[in-house]
Amino acid sequence: MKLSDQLKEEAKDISVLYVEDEEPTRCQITQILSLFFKEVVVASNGLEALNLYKKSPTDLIMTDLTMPQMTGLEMIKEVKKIEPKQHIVVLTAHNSSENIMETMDLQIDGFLLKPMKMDRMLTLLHKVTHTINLEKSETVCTH
Amino acid sequence: MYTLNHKYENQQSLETWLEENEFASEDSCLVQFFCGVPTEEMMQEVSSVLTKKLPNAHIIGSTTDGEMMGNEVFLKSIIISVSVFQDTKINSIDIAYTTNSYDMGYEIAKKLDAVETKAMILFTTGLAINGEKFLDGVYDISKGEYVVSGGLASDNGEFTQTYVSHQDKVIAKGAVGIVLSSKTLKVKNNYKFGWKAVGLPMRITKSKDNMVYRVNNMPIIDVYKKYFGEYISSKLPKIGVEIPLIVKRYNKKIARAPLNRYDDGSLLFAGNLIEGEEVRFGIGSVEHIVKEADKICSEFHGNSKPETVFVYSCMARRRLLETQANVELQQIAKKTTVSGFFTNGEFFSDKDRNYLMNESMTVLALSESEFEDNTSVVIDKESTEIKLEDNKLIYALTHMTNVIAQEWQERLDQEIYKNKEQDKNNFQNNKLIQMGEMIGMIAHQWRQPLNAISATSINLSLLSSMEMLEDEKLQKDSEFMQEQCQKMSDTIDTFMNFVKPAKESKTFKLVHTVDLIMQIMGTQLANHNIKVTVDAKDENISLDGYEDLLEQVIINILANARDAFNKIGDINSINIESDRFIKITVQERDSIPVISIEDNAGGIPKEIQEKIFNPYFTTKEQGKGTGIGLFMSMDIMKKSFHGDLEYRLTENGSIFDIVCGGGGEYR
Repeated sequence: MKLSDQLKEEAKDISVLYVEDEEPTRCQITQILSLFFKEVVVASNGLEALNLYKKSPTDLIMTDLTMPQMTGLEMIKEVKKIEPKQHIVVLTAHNSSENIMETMDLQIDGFLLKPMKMDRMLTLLHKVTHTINLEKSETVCTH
Repeated sequence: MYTLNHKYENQQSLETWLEENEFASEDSCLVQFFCGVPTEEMMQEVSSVLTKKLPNAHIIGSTTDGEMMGNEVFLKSIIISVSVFQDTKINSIDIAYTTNSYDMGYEIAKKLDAVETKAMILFTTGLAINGEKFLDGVYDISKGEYVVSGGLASDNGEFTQTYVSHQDKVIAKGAVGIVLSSKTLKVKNNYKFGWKAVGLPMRITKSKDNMVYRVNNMPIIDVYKKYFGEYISSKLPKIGVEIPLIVKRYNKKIARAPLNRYDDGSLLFAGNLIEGEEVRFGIGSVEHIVKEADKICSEFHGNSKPETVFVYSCMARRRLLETQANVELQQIAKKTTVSGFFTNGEFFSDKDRNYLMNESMTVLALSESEFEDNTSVVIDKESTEIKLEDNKLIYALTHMTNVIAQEWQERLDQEIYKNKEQDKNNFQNNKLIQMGEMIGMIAHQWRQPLNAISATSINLSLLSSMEMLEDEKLQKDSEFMQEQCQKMSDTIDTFMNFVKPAKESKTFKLVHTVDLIMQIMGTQLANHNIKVTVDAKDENISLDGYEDLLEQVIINILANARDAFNKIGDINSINIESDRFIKITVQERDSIPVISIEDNAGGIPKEIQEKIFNPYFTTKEQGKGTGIGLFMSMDIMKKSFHGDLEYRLTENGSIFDIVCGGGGEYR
């Protein structure tokens, strides 16, 4: 089975909050995510994302780091306060080690470097959605 | 023509000499007398005898600091020099000082000026006359068409009272002169210097005409004290002629000797020294003086042989050579009749201007006949060397001084060369850093379109593989990607324009410079979450110069601010990151354009503030900063904009004021 089909299968019941300040990129990625995920919530900066998350948490957050008002890092810190086990994928153009070192502490599920490569994106999203689904089924089983 | 000289003993012997030579019957007779007894009485006595005995002659006289006759130099004697011409008309005149030295020069030359003028010999009293301005006045009549010679009267170096005379009239403040006009008279003038410039170049920092107040921003008397010691400087002005200042003008080395000193530490010189002029001390070198004097003689060789030579030489030469002062007359005296005196300043001329010399030997050679010189000039080295033997200590010290000075200069030149190389390296390093900055900025500018293109192509690819791709979407996204590519290409153009080497010097608006920088740096700063505001108090504030240099300075400071934010960002909390700002203000302060760049990145600790403009000082971690940036920025502001770069600490950060003008330490 193709990777895209596998992802479609894994993500069909999963919601994602996607945070990106650059409009053209945001449009395209939103369209891509909509191909796979059950629900795609979109925010254009950290603060907006945090507010949306507080209202209704999603299974996965996919966020950029460098953004006005509230950076991705600041937002992640706040979200982790609310839900320490929140699954997060970081999208970043900053391939500088400093930023990555900081996010390591925050228990991130994975990184996608911008500009993105399709295979890597699909692979990572597949892996993360698979994990989320496993957790979900464990939760269902234990109850 | 011929010249005969007489050394005065008493009135009787002078009268006898004049009668014996039958000068009274000559039509064209020039008499000069050089009086080493600088009193009015003596001047009167001699001029009265001469006028009485030679009523048709033109008689001028001057007090001196030594007299010359043949190959001998006398002190406190009186030399009478009578020149008889065949085909030359002579006229003479005196003029009292009235309004100023220039007018005096202009008037005397105007009154003497005649058809076929070949030479003018002028004597002026030697104190309180600005010889340079006097000669400027003369030049406005002579226009370089004939030779101007003569000098300032002296008084045995007493600097109290000098006199000149015309016929039997003795003048305490004024000028006298004769003019020689002829079809056949051949005239040649020459000068020799022989003082060597020693020590480092200094700058006249305050002067008015021939009054000098400050050199290198120090009272001039202290400068003399510093280099020559308390004892010698206490002997100023008397000793000044031996340690003059040397200035180079129109490719001629001209010495300026101090004539008087004042309580405020200023000195009056025997000629003008202009504010901003570069001067060096001159040291008389015996060896050099003699060599130069020999040269003057050999330079006449090949021309028609002079029938008479008048020498007007600086008193300093006599004082330096002391008893051997006649050494420099030896070679000339072998060829012709020589007479003259030691002056407070010599007059020399070429076709472009008149010069007031100090420390020089000026020579006026005259001849009415076409006479090939067949006697070869043999420089009598032996006699010169024997004479120098008596002066060996002066010779040795002068030589040593000059050698030390030369060594000093060489070492200094090396240092200057090294510094220049260092500057060049600094400049190149800075250029490299700036290039690095530029690449960083391009990267930021490109990331956005690159991300958008990559996201779009992924989207298209997925839609296609899922057989969901509609034509309309494909068209729209292709156009979008082309647009993005265009954007990236535009970025390259902007940057290429920016890194183009050495833009021309022109008038530019500061707002334009800041805009340009924001175009290339704005994205990067925004990506660092820094909010940049530009506040132009006046859009029209402009500057003359190289805009790219100012750009370098601004980029440098902005890049420092950006790095400073990153540094505190590591430690501090979220809030600060959200409030990051850089504020650029363009305004005029006391009508000087100032660009202020304020940030709230924490500021520079007091203890290192002093060091930030030093070369190679950096607070950045190894490999990130070279410490050249602010040093170079300061250098650019001072050297290229006569401005400054100032630092102020604020509550949460820094303000750098880029001051575009207003002086600074460089010219």
